Amino acid sequence: MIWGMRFCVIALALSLAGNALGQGLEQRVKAAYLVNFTRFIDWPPETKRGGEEAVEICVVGNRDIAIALSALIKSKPSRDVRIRSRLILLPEQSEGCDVLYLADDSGELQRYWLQKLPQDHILTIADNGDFIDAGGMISFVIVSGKLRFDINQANIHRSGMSVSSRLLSLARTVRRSAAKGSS
Amino acid sequence: MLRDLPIQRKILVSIVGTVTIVLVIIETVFVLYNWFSVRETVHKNLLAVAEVFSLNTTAAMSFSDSQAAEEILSSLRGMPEIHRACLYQGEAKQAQLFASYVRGSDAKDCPLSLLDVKASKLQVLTVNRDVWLGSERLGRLVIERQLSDLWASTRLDIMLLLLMLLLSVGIAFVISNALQKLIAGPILALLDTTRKVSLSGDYSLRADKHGDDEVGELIDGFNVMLSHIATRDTDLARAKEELTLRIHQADAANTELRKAVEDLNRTQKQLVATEKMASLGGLVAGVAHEVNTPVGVSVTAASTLRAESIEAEQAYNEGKLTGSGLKHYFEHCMQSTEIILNNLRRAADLVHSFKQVAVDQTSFERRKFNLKSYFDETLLSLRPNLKNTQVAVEIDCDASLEANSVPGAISQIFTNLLMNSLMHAYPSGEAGRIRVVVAECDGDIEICYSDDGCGMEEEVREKIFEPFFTTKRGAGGSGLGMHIVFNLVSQQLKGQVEVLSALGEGTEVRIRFPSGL
Repeated sequence: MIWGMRFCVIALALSLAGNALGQGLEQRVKAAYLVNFTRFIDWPPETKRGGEEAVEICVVGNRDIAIALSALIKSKPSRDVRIRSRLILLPEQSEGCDVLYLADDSGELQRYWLQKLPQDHILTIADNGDFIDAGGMISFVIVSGKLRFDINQANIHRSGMSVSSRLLSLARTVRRSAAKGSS
Repeated sequence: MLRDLPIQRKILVSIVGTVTIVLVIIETVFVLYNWFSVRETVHKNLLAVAEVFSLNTTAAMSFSDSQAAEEILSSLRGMPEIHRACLYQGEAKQAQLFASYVRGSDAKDCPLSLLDVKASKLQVLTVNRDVWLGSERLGRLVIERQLSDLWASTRLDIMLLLLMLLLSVGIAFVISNALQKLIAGPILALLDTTRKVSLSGDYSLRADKHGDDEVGELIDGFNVMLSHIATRDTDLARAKEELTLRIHQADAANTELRKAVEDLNRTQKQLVATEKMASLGGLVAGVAHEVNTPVGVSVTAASTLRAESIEAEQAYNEGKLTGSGLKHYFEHCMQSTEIILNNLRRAADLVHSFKQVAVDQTSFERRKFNLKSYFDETLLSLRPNLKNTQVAVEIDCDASLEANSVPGAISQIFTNLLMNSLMHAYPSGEAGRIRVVVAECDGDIEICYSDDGCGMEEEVREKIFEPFFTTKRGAGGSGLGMHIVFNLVSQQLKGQVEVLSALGEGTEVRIRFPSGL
């Protein structure tokens, strides 16, 4: 019932997002997507996440999304997976992160973050489309007013994780290799 | 209904009917089983399909991407029987249509609410599958599949089975036709023979035997029966002839017997009449004897008177008649005439009573009479018989007792009883006492006649009323006395008679008859 309620909220949010992605609404939809992604990604068993601990979503540079995320997690706790979120400023703070959302779309900064990450198997997500070509894993895109996403499957695999085909089937573009090329 | 069918038809009906019923049952069960098992298989397959598609649409639903979900569902095109798939998002009651797949233009669109989705029907198979993400239920997938292919194959099955049924019934028909010749043929032949025999009555006919089965046995039995009947007929005819002969003989014998009986009866009647006359003869003898004394006395007295008179006349003529002589003569006259008168009166009395008894004994006329005086008169007439015996007869009767009956019968009964007593009870002249008690009792007269003689044995007493029964056949007994008594009591007096006796204890005869007839 609780989850039903939750999906109603999401559905409402998404349909609204479909019309016009208002600022507050866009943050909430993105926060819901971030949580949803964790359901279709498998972390390697030896990792903290693979040991069935809570999923930790770290947000870099966007306070609003971090707030929306923590509000969502607090309002609708999952029975299967516990999810935590925190806002970080420096790559050193990303110790223990399972998902890293880089709200800053500066390519320089993103590359810096990707290099500086303390461990593999962190799902990296950003807003700009070229992020997945620059070593990132998922990037949000807005297609005809609707929020969608691209996936670089090779980058996810390289960092020891696997992505569900069901998630891939929803992606607008899936990169199978580190090199350029889309499916 | 079936009972009256010819046997051929019965065989046909039983074989073809059995085959039809069995086949119909088997085929119905087969079709039903087939239908349900195929439907079960289809159901399982559809459940698997629903499983796959519910898994595949999880992500789309999770991200609320209904377009993606519809794309996934559209791959159901590969399964032409599936005409509709509806994906609902949300918990059961509030679930709303999220994505749908509708095949062709025939199928209707999915209902907007999960609540409006109908369950399986005969034509449509519906499966439901919840869409799970981990342990969260995102919604439900409903896939509907048309069962037209199942129905088509079932129709084909039914057609094939009907064809088989027709074929089987046809074969059964042919076989039963062949069988009915085998089974019914001998029975019909037997029936034919039976008809011939019963129509012609010719028991020399025999039924032909076709085999050693039960019918064969039946035919054997029938033939044996026929021969038995034939033998019996002959025996019967012979017996009948013999019987006819016997009947003729018996008839002849009967006629002779009847004639003999008639003769006997006639003889008996004659004898009874003779006996009556004999008793009358006895009566006459008695009368003669009884009248003889007074008449004799009268004759003696008269002759004495005559001699006296002659003597007196002679004395008168000679003038020697004296007064004293005349007086003496007159005294003598008076005495003589007194004696004569007395005796003649007595004789007249006797004759009168004898006459009455004799008339009564011969005429059996009904009249009113005094019992006491009648018994006295009868006894008087029997006195000669008693004279030479030492038997005393005592009559105890109220002098005023009267009866309106047949006195002749009574006197004859009394005579016969008395004669019997004299003859049988006191055979060698012993002294005895006979007592007759007459009394009225409830309008009946009861005569109790008893002697104290030697009595009789029980066998004798039982036969005493039978005609010609006597223990003194050679000594003058006719054997009719008591028979006449019985006849007189029952016929003339309309009464009853019984004899009580034991050897050495005397005999008692009780007669009871109505005092007024």
